[in-house]
Amino acid sequence: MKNYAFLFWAYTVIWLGLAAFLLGSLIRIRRLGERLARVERELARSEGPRAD
Amino acid sequence: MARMWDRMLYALWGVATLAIGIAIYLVFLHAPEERVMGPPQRIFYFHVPIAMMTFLAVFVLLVGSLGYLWTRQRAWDDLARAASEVGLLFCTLVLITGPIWAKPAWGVWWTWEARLTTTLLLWLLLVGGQMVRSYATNRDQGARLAAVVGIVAALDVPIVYKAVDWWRGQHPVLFRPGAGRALAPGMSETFSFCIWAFALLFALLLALRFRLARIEDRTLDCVERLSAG
Repeated sequence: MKNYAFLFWAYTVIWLGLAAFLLGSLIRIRRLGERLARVERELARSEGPRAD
Repeated sequence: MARMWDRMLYALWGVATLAIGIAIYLVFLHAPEERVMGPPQRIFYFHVPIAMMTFLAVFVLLVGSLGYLWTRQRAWDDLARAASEVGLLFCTLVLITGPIWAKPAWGVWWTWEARLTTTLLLWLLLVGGQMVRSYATNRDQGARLAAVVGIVAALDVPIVYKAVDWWRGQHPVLFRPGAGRALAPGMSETFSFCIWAFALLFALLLALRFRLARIEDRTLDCVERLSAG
């Protein structure tokens, strides 16, 4: 039984690590995407309409 | 272009999830139990492919670092940054699952054996790369220093691979030139499939992290232009 505990913990660590990394990446992409859109809007406003 | 990239990411996500599902099935229901070690031997099916993906990540880090130092184009640095983060994740998982396997196999969680020590060194170099990037005074300096640390990390990979031979370490060696088949039937297919499954997962994580780095770059560019204007 004790030997199964090692197997359980190894796979738990792997899945938790991968899931946290994946989820963290997705959350950061979404937040940064929103921030980028906001900053691009501000930039367009501050630079004004282009001559062309 | 962004939509096509999104579709490719979703497709990759689907294929990687399916492959990992099949890999879990093979590891727990198809591969035969190893007689001496018993259940903890099954850690090997994920531990070794994760170690291989660490090496692959460091290779991509090397390409990105050299590309950036050569061209000074931001995209190369973004590739290096993405590879460094994914490599750090995989290297961390290797350093955690290894001791979990070592305890029932060797009776100790950790020993200063050659391969373990050089892998720890690789991990420290990958952490160092992240640190120099964070503490640099500007983006270019951070990218340049991280590229140099990335190249040093890449130099450690062949040492990790050959450490067991050079210093007669006790870490098991799976691939040795001239040696016969190391794995029993059933184990061999499972192991090969796990490598492909983790390669897909690696590609997915790298693509996601690369995209994140690109968005971060564009955001910082815009912020700099805003504050300058």
